[in-house]
Amino acid sequence: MPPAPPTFVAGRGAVTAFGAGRTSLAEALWAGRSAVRPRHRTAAFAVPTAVAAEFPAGVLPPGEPALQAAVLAAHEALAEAGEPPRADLGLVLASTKADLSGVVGAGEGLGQPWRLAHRLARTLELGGPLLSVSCACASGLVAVAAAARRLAAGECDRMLVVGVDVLHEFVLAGFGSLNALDPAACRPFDRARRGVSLGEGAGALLLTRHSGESLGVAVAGHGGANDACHVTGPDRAGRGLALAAARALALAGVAPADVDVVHLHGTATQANDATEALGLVGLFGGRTPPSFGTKAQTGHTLGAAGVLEALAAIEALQRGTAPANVGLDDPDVDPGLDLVRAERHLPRARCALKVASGFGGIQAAVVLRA
Amino acid sequence: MSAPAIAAIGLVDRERIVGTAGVDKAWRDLGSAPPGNGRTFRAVFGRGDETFRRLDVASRVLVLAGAAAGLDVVLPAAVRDDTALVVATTVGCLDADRQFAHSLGAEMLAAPVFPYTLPSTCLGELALRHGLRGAGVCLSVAPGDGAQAFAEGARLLAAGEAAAAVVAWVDVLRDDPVNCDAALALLAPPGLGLRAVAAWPADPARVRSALRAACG
Repeated sequence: MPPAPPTFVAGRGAVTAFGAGRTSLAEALWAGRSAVRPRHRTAAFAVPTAVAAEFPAGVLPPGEPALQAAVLAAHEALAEAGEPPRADLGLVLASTKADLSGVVGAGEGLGQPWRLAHRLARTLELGGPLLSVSCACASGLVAVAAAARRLAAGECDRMLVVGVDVLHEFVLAGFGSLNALDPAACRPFDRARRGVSLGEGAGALLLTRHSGESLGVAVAGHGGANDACHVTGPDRAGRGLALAAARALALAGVAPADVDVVHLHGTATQANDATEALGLVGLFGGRTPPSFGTKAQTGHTLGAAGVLEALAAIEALQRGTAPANVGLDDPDVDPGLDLVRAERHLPRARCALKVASGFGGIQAAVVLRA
Repeated sequence: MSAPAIAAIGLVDRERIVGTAGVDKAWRDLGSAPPGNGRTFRAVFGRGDETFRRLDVASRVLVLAGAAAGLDVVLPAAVRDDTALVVATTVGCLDADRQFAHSLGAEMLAAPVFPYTLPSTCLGELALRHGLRGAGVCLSVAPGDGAQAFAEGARLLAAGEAAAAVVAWVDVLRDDPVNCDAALALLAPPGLGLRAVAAWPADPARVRSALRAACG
């Protein structure tokens, strides 16, 4: 497969439990802080965990929270990109359930992301192609791939990718019903891990075809795969994840040896972490590059995770360091997965791999190159 | 790249299950309403599907459409690892959402339903039945935009990201009367050598009529 024409990152935005702005996210991640705290706004929900990563009070303007978070993240990305023309700016929205206010309550949201995408496009006055992706926890990376595909094909000049999900009783209870929640803060890849800590967030990436608008980072490749073995559990050898990553590397024209850092999916479920490690160790021939995940800090932000974690991978390339895996005391996965235990200098910081997995067996990967 | 060939089609609506595998069954004759029950799959295809009755409504309809298209016969085994799957839906998982939301107030949560509150889960059900290990894309689309799935599948082929693509839209509302609509097609580049059963429609808005015409 010939390498795809790269698409360039021109703008970034984030709203997380650390507050508004990608800087607050990056500083917290590299300082080793966690926003997974005792539940406050969602405290009334009877779910089997004491914690979640909730937006700080007052960070969002009044209104429907998913829309407000998406708008806030998008504005930051647009500003960093120098406010490109919006008449032909495309939008790919990634979300699992968008707005559930009408499913559990009397609101208008029916858990259908396309409605939120249309409202976001109207609010931002975007006139380009409009797409809405709902691929469970892989949504964010699938959205980045969809945008990159359109840019590479010359369908438009710039695409805004926004991933967003907010905490809701429906989702907290759902993960709880599957016994997938850690009662306390999650510990990805640790022997004592007991499941996910959920979070809420919105991330935005403005992608462009024009190298002159680049912040110095390109989406060099993307890839997808399906485990095709179970709709909620991963392939026991991590084959789907490795296949998606291998496809992303091939599209980028990058060999595994050229990858300098990996941002992990790392949900902290027993099965996900173990199989993710197996798949990546196999892909890299026995030893991975320095690898880190950030869900112990941001919580699992579901449809926003892929975009927010791509921002963290870009930050690693720009800082030249990988942050520590928070909550990791006693690793309990394939030792070939090089889990960063304390902030580590990257001898070379030119290429990052970001991976994600979702219900439905969906696996996705993106290669970022500085 | 030239337009892909449409190599198989499966359609399910409130009246019938039809496909290029030679299937044409009316729900009235099956004695059940869409999206069917534990006996439907065997009644239509003459073989069992052990978990069909446990699926949510969108997954049932999509699985029926895939079988009606004859994916198992038409799609070479060697290609399945690299066959992408694109599903578009407007209603999404509203039926499963309502079921799970209802259980929030009950003594026992409807845990088996929760995975089906994600629209990508029906994509997974189809992938595991046919061993489709290519990229997966689930699109949430406005009413009438189901053809976006066909366009995305064509993009994946044009970009060389998949050897073939199964594309579908699916929507089911279990209100009375049941509103059920699914269209599934296998797209293949001309070089793959699969026989075309329908032409790629020049006007994407005419995908539905083109598929229906090809199924007779």
